[in-house]
Amino acid sequence: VTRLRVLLSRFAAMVSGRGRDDELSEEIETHLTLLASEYRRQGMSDEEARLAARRAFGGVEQVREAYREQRRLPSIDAFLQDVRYGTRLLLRDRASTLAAIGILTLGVGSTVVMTDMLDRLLIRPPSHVDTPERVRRVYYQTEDGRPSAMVTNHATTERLSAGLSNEVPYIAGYFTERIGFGRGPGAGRFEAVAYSPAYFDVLGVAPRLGVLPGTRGPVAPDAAVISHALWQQRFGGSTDVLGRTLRLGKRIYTVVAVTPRGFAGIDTEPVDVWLPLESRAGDGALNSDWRTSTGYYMLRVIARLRAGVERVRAEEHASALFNAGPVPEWMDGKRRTYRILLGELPPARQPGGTHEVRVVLWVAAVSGFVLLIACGNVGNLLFVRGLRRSRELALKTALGATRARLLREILTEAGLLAVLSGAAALLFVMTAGALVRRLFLPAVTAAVVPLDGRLIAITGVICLGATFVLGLLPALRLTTRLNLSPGHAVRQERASRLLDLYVGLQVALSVPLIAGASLFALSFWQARQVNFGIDTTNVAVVSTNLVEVGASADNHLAHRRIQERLNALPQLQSVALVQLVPMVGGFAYEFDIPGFMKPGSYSGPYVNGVDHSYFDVMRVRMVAGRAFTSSENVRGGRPVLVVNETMARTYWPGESPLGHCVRVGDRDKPCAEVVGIAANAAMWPVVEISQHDAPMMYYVPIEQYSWLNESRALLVRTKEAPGTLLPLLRTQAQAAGADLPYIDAWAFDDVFQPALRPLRLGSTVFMVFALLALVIAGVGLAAVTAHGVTRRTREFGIRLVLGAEPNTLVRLMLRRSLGAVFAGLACGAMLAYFGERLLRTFLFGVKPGDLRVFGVSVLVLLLVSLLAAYLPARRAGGVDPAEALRAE
Amino acid sequence: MAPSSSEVPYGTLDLVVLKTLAAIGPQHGYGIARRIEQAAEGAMALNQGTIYPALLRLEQKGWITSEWGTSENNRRAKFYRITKRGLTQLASETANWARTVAMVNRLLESES
Repeated sequence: VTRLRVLLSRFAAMVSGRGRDDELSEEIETHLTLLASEYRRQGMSDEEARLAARRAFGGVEQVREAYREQRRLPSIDAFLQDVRYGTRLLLRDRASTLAAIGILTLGVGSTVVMTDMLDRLLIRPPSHVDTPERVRRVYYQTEDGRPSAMVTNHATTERLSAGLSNEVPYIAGYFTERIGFGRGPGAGRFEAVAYSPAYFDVLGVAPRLGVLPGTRGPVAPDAAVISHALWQQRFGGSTDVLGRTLRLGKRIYTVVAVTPRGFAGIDTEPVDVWLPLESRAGDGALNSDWRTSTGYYMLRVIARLRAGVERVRAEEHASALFNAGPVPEWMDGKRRTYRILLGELPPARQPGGTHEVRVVLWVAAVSGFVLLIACGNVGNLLFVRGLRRSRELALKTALGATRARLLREILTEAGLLAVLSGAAALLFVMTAGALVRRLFLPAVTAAVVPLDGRLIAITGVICLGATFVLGLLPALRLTTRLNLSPGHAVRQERASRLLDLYVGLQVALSVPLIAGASLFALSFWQARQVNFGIDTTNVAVVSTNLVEVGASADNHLAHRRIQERLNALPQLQSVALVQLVPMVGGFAYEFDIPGFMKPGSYSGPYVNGVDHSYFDVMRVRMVAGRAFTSSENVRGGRPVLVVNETMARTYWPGESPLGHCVRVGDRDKPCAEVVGIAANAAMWPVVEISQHDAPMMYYVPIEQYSWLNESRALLVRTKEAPGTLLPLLRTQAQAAGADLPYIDAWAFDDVFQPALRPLRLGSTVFMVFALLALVIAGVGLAAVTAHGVTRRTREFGIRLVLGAEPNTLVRLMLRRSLGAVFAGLACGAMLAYFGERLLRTFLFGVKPGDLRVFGVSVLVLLLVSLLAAYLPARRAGGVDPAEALRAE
Repeated sequence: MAPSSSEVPYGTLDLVVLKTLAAIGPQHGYGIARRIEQAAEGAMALNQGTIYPALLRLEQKGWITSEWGTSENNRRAKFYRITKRGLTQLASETANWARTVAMVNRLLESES
């Protein structure tokens, strides 16, 4: 206790500052006066008394010092002194301080941003979910397939729920949809989740307001749960929102609860509103037999494990139950056995992993390279700085400073650097990190708090760790007895081997970064070159949805009116009305070819009702025959259709289908004549090299076959990139009718976003990292070379006097610097070679061991190194001998 | 250096200061120093200044407290006073001291 008390009072004294020193002076003054007057009483003169008092008192300064020693915390005091000294040093050498801080900031910042991305994508469970480790997403897998999220129907989830009640108290099915609200210019669209009653019981979310519907009570069919964001935007965050109504599609809902802030659903898109599954029946999303039919595949499934239940046991039981019922049918007619997997909730944690997640992991690992390169570089800078100070260190040693004292001094300087660059890195994480998240993460994960304690902690740890190691290495080198002894020029040569090591490290790590960047860039470029059978650039999609608001009959005409308006716009080339947007929807209908066996009605070829202009708008090539004409695309026109290559090959192998007859629909429908074969087009926006496994597909004139399908959309070919035209398209479309529902307008190429995201992420981030690495490594090499020139100025001076050619000296310096570069290049090429094998699965259309990639990487690095070494090395030849000899 | 006087044995100054304060009540630094010199009757050479770090040490330990007052010659002076904890400490230190001295004495006598 006494020790603590002493410590506290010392600490207090330190904080209270100078006051005590003045007090002591006063005490001493009083003491001396009293003592002197005592001596005077004994008969001394004033002067004698004063001197005698001083003698008796002892050394005033010593007493002061002893007093101070006693008063302060010695270690903290020394620390503060070191800090002051370190700050002075950092300020003295501003250029290299700024360089070191900048480089560390980039290195640490990019690592932290990537760590944060990993954390959000893979580690952090959705916020507000109770005991998230027990909340599982249901996946399934056949013997011959990879795991995928289960998509099933209500009847199956009910069956699983009833059978698994011991292991899994709650199972819920849900699907997401976009529902329009309002009419006219104020119309909008919500991201909605239609859920079965156990949904919120599975998640265990506590509402911000109201009561979340669940299995414990009856769920009102019109109960709407709204998100915190929607509550704030639409209802101004007012507490009387409960009981207010929302008109969505053709139904009116009543708000019963608001979700807590930060809970935006469990998928990738932030959800605005949650609606009971049964309320979506009959709205187009679900038919009236949705409870019993096992023919639908639209519900995704989540489940809550009972505490203490082993996941594997629950999975086995669930698999047995699932396989005992009607399982999804396959086109090839073979029945599969399924294995049910209870995966973790975040979509990115899909069992077996996804491409995107693996790319993110790679990119994160690569950001570690950038950090290492940055460290190597800052190590350089600190070391070079240290070398410049070695004379000073030697002097200090001579004056009695211990090695520990010097080490502490150097490490304090490094620590200061760490704190400064840590602060800068946090700023970087806050700004650049937000940008990176917006670009590369699904909206839900990107939305959460911009900066949390863990990020700050990670930044701090990395920064301190990095600078400690960086500071310690050169500090140990510099303070060894050898370096401190006078005349250590020879030893310095050995010390600068450490510099070579740093340079080599940076170069070696840069090669795989540049190689990775070029591999991903090449893949990205090649993926964009894939021929999908339709030309999607400069195509926009414009649609509205009258089916959803209960006016199916008007949907066709409304789109025709929009089409008329759009046709008048000079920015557009042509517009086609379609039932389904290619690559977004697929639809099959009863059909038969007289004289052929009738294939299963639902697993037959896909069909789309389109305008005659479709083939022109989407640039679909006709392999044989012709597209249908405007005179055929009218109600009651001549029944015709166009089949794709796969369909032609499947039904009419070895002969031409042209002129044959196909009946779409019942027996009473007319037989349509095949008039053309269209080139295969990709059915889904999957980036694959071969497109010849496109499914069977045929096109019919939309006016004749408008009864096939109620859904409508307009495909618009624009003269320029559609991005900037979208607002215009939307307002023009809205103006086509007095009270049209929400108008959706988007650039067709957006459908490729999910497929291209991993490649885009890989190529962008690799590219940024590679550039960073190049710049950092270049700066490092330049600094080392410059240091070498400075160190050998005297030697060069002598050589020049003795008749050396300036160019020889430049070459000498270059050789010296490039030695490390070559060693680094060799190691780096090896790293890149093995790295490429690991990356291969993510790459697209890149041949293994593509020499172009390696050549480019090595060449780029070599050029940068040459430049970085040459610029400072040039100085070697320009040394003025007289000046050089005077320098020492 | 006079043969009759010796340095203050290390660690004993604190004890002596405590004892002095216990005996004469609140006193300023000069008074304490004078008092110790008188008690030692010239047998101990005290650099009077050294009692200030000792006073601070005791104060930090909470054994004495100080407050500002006025000295005989009307100057501001800091007066030190022993605390309750200081009295307890003094008792135990005195006992310790006696034990140590007795032990050293026994040792010295048996050696001779």
